[in-house]
Amino acid sequence: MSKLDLAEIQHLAKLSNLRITNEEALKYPEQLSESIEYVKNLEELDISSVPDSFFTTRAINLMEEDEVRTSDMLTQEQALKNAQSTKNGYFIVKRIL
Amino acid sequence: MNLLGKSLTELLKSELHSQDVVDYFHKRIVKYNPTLHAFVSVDEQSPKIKEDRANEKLKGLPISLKDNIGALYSPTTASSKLLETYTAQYAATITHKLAKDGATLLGKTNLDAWAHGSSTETSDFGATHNPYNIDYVPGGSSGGSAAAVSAGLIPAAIGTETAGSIRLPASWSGVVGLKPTYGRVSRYGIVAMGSSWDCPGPITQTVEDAALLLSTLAGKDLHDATTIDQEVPNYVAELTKERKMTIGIAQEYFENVDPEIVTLVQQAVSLLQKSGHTVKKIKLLHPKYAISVYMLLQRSEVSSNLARYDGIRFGKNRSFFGKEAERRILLGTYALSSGYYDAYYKTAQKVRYLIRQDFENVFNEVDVIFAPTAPITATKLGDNEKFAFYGEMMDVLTEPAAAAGIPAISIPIGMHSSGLPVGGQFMARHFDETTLLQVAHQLEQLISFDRLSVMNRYE
Repeated sequence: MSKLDLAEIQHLAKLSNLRITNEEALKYPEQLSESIEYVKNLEELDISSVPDSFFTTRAINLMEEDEVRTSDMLTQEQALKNAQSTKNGYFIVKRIL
Repeated sequence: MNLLGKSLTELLKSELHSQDVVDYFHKRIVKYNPTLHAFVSVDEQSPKIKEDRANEKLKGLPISLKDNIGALYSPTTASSKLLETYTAQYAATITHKLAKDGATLLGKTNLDAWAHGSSTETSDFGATHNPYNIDYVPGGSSGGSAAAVSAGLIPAAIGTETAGSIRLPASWSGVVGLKPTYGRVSRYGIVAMGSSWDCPGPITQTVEDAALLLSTLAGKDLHDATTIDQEVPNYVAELTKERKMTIGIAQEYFENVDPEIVTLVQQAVSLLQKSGHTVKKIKLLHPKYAISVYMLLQRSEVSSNLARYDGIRFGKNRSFFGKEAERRILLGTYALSSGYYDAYYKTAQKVRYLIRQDFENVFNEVDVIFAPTAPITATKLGDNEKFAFYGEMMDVLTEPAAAAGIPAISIPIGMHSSGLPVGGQFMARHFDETTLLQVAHQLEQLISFDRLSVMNRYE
């Protein structure tokens, strides 16, 4: 398992759409490398016979009818209520193409 | 009228008019919140009880919600500046259930921003203070809820736990904190953190109140596919059955624990033994592995859950994340990225399986497990930076149960010489909150913790 350097932190920040300031970024490599170092203790345990899938309560394939529940719908006004930027009932987003 | 130290159950049985009770606690919040900062928001005027609620189970009595739980058209900030202007456009299922059962929602309580923390110091709106000593933290992340109940600013509150966020502040603030089984209580309408861990639960003055509120909160929810369709027992009626149990004690949960806390736990164990319970030594996986599992899986889930805060639909843009949220998003993104996924995420998931299996094996021998809730008592404000992995170290004894998804409850078991309270926790089988509450109730009667003295300081 490797250590995280500044370039890698900047790459992760880009992937996760974070704009971290230089001052903060300088501390992150060391702080996150400590976490990566800590979790190495998991290697002490034998996990060879453990199945690949896990869910907390073992609930599997809970099915429900595919139906529209109008009572759960937000109105257009409600859906836009917390948006910073809207126009004619739409969200305004950055151009992506 | 002095209602200090009256539990929710006692208030329900009293002949008092619920509006007077709401007004009483509203006045206390307004008066003492500047000292404790347990609440991030409270109505300017005491809310008027809705008439239809006064006839329901909770009779209009006041209850506070942690501010990551959505209430209709109310601010829900998760104590983050990013959501400072956000108002929920739908109610969380538990908010709806509490209202339906007659609760009057009074105020939203403080938390570590996004519930990422164990002291409530990382709140973007300022730290909450521990009512026992305002230079100390109440624990976190549900620190506002715990401090509010501890100081008698509200009879009971609702918190949320991912891995310790109900039990740790309950223990450090001298109150009862119940983390139900994962899937017992709906997560719908709550700001998501670690979706395969998160679980809301009550923070109360008594175990009886925890049982009462769990009856309201629990149950299958159409809006949360991870809730389990299993009958909700009458926890309050079951509470007083004086069952004798086999209680497991694991040495692994006493390593590096403050000696005074160890002594108080041992005293509690002998009280249980003297009243007819059997105590059995058991062996559990070392809690340090749960720290690693939590560190990887919670970060992974955080990086995914917080991706939705892109400044388009909810509140402000991503530059409003604090450092802790940024660190967690970065580490989670790393643990899930190609090339590292097997080494980190998958390995942690497999160890999580082992932790659950370990508990299940032990529950073939014992009914419940008893342990300290935290290795030390509350820390001083600002001291969190002196500890490496502060949150993980404070939550080391609460993380395994959270990883396994089993229910657990912390109750006050005595006072430390520092003048701060100490908590002990029981853990039980999946969906066996009944046993958990029964044994906690019995110990609570044996200990008779003084919850009134601290409230009297705010009078």
